[in-house]
Amino acid sequence: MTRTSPVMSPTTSDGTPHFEPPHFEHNFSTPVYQHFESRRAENSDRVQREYVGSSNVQGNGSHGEGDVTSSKWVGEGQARGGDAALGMKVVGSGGTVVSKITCSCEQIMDFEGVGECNKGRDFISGLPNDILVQILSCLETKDVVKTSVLSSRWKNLWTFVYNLHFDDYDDKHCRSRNFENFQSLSMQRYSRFSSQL
Amino acid sequence: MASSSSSSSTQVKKITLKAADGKHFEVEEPVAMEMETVKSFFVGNEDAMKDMVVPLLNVSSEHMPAILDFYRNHSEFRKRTPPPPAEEVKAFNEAFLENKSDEQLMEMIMAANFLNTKELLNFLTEAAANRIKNKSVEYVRAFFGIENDFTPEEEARIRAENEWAFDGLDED
Repeated sequence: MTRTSPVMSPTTSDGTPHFEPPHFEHNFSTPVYQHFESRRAENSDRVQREYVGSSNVQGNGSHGEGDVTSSKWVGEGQARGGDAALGMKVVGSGGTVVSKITCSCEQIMDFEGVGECNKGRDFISGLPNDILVQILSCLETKDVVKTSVLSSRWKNLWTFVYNLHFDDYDDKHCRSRNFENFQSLSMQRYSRFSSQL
Repeated sequence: MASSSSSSSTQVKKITLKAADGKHFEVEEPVAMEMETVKSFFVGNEDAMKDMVVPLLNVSSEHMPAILDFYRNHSEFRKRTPPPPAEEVKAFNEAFLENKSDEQLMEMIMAANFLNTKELLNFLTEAAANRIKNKSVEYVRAFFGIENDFTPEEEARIRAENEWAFDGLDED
């Protein structure tokens, strides 16, 4: 995910600074399911194939990883250690662009194996982060914070939950020395985790 | 339930969906269009409507009838005037989740995510949240089969960081 900064160009004819909008690459969500049907017929020898689908560029540079994850099967590939890293190229610019995704047939087969992966017990960790965050956001903040000790994957995941929910909030929490630092700690962790992405 | 054998009521256009294990499901067009993933096949490609089999690789045939049932009922609820009483919707939703194991629930979440339908996904994620509400860490970990990869020291440190969150749990 690259993003070039807005450029102030001194070369405009009327002397006013020319503002060039930021240009986004690798920033799309796209339906690319239409070719799955034919993959069986051509599954061998890692032939590179191109998958073309229309997509909308999402003008949200600060949230790059999330945008990629929102393309469903790309997200699942990432959840499995990036075994299906895809070569992606956005062609053109402006509101609506055509995006090209290339990946080998072998990688497509990996997606078919998603069902297999889920038969393992740790199926909830197989879910994409955005779904896990959605589940957590239905919980009380106390329960959400507790998920930090589940495993290393979950350690900072809760910081992406966008709501606070204190239902049976009692005085004891306020007096807890930890709770005083809760907010600042959360912010620190969030920025640390975001920078890792 | 929707299956390839249903041949009556030929008035409504049917769309054939193929589940992960190759089983075909014939679905009325409005129901199929509830799924954004299916819809995206046909947008700007109306010729494909005829004889098109839509492959849904992340949805197993085990869950397909229930998912289609959900779409059918909820689209009917939305259309009805006056709107159905809340109890009726609630009763359907509860019946939908009854006898679903946690693993089945998770598989359906995966399916709803793939099918890109907000209504079903929101409903299922809320159901999942209800199952882990106010439970101990050990319970949640065992419940979902999450492997703890922390050392005892690391775990103790993380617990200490947010000590306030770990008091007063339901016993189970």
